[in-house]
Amino acid sequence: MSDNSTEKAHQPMEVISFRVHDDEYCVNIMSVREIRGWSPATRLPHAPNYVRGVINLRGAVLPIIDLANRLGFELTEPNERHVIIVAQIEGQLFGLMVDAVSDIMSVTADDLQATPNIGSEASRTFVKNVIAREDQMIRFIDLSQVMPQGLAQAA
Amino acid sequence: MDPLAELRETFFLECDELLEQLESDLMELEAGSEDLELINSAFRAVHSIKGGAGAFGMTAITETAHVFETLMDHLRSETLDLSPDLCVLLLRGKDLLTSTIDVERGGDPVDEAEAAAVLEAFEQACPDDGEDEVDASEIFQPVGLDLELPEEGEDVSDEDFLAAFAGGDDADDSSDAEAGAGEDTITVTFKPLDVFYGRGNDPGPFLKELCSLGESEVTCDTSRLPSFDDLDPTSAYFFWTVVLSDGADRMDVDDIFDFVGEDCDNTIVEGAAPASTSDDDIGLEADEDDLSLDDASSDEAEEAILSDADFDALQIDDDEDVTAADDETLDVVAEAAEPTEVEIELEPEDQPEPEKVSAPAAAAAQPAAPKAKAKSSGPKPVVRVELSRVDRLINLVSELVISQSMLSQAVEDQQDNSTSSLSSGLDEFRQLTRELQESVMAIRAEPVKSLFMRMSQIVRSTAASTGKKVKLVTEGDSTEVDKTVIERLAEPLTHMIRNAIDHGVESPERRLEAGKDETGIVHLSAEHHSGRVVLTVKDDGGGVNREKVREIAISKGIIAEDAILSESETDALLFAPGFSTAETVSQVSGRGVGMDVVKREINSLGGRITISSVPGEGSTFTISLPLTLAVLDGMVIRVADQTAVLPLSVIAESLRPEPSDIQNLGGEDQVVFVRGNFVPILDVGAALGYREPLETFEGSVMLLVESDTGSEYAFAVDEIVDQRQVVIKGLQANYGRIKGVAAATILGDGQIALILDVNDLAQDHSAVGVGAPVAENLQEAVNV
Repeated sequence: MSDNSTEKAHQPMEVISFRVHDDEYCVNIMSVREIRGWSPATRLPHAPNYVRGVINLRGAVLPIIDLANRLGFELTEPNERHVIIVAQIEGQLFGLMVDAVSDIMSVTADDLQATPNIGSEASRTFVKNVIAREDQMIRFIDLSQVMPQGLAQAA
Repeated sequence: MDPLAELRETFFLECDELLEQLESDLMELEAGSEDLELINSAFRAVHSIKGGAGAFGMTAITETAHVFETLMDHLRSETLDLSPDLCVLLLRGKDLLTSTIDVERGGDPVDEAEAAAVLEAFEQACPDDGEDEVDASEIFQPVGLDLELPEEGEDVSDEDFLAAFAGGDDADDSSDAEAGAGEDTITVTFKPLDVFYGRGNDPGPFLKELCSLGESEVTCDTSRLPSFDDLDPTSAYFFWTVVLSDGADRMDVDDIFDFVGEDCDNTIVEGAAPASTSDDDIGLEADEDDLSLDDASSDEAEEAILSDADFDALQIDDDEDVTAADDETLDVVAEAAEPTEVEIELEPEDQPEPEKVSAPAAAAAQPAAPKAKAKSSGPKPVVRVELSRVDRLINLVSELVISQSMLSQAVEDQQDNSTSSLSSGLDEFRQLTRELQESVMAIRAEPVKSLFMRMSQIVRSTAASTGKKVKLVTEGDSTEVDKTVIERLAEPLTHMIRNAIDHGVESPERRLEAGKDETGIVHLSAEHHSGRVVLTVKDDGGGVNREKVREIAISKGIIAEDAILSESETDALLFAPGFSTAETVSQVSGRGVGMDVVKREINSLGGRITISSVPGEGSTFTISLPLTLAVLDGMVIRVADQTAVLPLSVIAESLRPEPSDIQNLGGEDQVVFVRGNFVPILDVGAALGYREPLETFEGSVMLLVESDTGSEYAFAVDEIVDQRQVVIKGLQANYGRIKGVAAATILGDGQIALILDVNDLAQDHSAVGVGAPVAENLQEAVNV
């Protein structure tokens, strides 16, 4: 992800923006594989709360991350209106559960501002940059931080 | 992967196949077959390996293969008889070749002593002087030696080349008289194109190879060599005519050029020259020699053309290509000598690629026979496909199976009476998807033959290092098993075979004392048995020494001193962790990681291993394995509102215990009383962290499972839903490993269910749960 944004500093980058907990977030559209509706997930044992379980994505086992909870909000009570953004980072496929997808927009490196140096460590871990757009702040999510770290060793 | 690495990989794959072919040929020969085709086929295998290795500059392989090939050649030409001892030697040679190839692959280094011994034995086995054929070949040695020059250094300049080959020509002159008189000749015009050299090839070895096929006669045509000033060092100017008499095989000639066929403009003509033309034959060769020595005086060239044409006309019959070439030759000749000269002069400047029309090419070219694609009746044609593609196909098909069952479910729910054409159509659909699934699974299946072949190598090396005489008898090697299963079986099976020889089969003296044949027999067989594959490793050795097993088990604290064990229970102690019966820790086996490792490995494949033994008659190990790792027979259960799957292979039975059967062991631990045994209860819902531990197991269903270590547990679940085959889906790729979960699967309703890892759960449970190790061991000892 970080490579993508530095490499294409002067090229406009397409991002897909979505709403979580009444706030706007976005991710690089190149990491997004598809967007689908919510379907009940199978719980995983010994998993952090924000890992809602796994669903069947045409034969692949797709872990679902409750992005709100991952960002420090309360657990989302999933319903059919929730949306899953299927993203791929370094060959790993996972789904982000968000409230709704809002827009696809084009941003340049100039639009990206550094995350203000306040707030918890947690939010700065996940929010790499912020983008000002129509009086709104859109938070650019670092997808590589979203999945639980060090799972392979944890076993 | 860079292209060269890819090529290397392909070469190694080919080597595997060729070695397999070689081994099976040799085995058949050893079994007493006298089919000459077997020798030929084995020879070709070695030869192909040598050729490929040469192309990659793997000299170690080339050298070994060469020695091997030389010996095989003697067998082929019947200057050497195939004796049983020789068969054994050849097999050893094959093993050496295998390990030499392994080294190139990054495997362990070759055992130098064995290598030297084998190579020396090979050389000794080759008949030396005194035989006619050998004499004949000696005459040609100057050619061979000269040709070796350019082979050694890659940067040999063209002058050196010329010198080397001019020398070769002289030598040929002296032997002219003998050559050409053969009844059965093949004339090869070896005409490397620029690209041949561009790819780093060297004509020397090819010519040498050709010469090795029999009595041969090599002429180099230097007529196209321009003056030094016009010389383009990257162009090809020479070509060679090799006349092979003495019954050389056309196929062998083709084999030689197998790798460079595209880079040369070769012509190969075979057939018995009619007796009347044999004079012409000699005449032609004399002419050509003149031509090559005396640099292309046009008159002589013309003569050569003429005699060539005569020769062609006489020798060729039906081939169209050939006739066309002839016509052209004749045309050129008819047009007088001038065009010939023009062509010669032009040649070096523009594209020197010889075309059939160009006079010099046609002049010396023997009639252009079509490049024979003569393939011997080899193995069935195969397609090499990347495993990931097959896996993708399998994935898609299992998706299809799932969506089919979802569809069926939906249709069933919609209508009450399923008499319509819809449901019959659905039935057909289901049938088809099943068949499709089976055939896709079959793609991954491969015969266990390759595995068995590897084992025969293990048998030989182990027998050699233990000084025992052992013969491997295999059965059912066409039994097909999933490729992954085969790969993962290699290690445990190797261990078992080694064990069978090291611990099972007695020394020759002791065998004779016991009234057995001094050669022990290890029997390895595979068969399909009700949806599983059953492998047996049987030796005719002394069987399990139960007294000793018991002694050791007690001394190692595996069982209590007063434990009462049945014979089969004693035998099963061999699988206990840390058990090793070897009196001395030998090089072969007995490093203390004995059969328990084998058992764990087999279990992780979803298989089971059992032993039966008769004192004095030997032991039999039986492995029962699923046909594939892609599907699994599972018990679908529900626990804490979640669906999960337990592998059927670990489930011994299911029970619904009476409340009175459940006992508290103190604290939270409870056991259930099953037929005289107290089995610890494992609350699956709690173990997975789905819910708090249950207060009472009343109404729960218990599944009696056996873990790797042989301990039994009663898994408490809420409900047993179904028993079915499930497709295994990895969790690792997208998430990571989860404790207690082996994999996932997709059920008929499209939901994911986790496949539980019984060992993980059990281990976890015993670590915090039921009691001291001694109690565990006791339990185990009782339960095995």
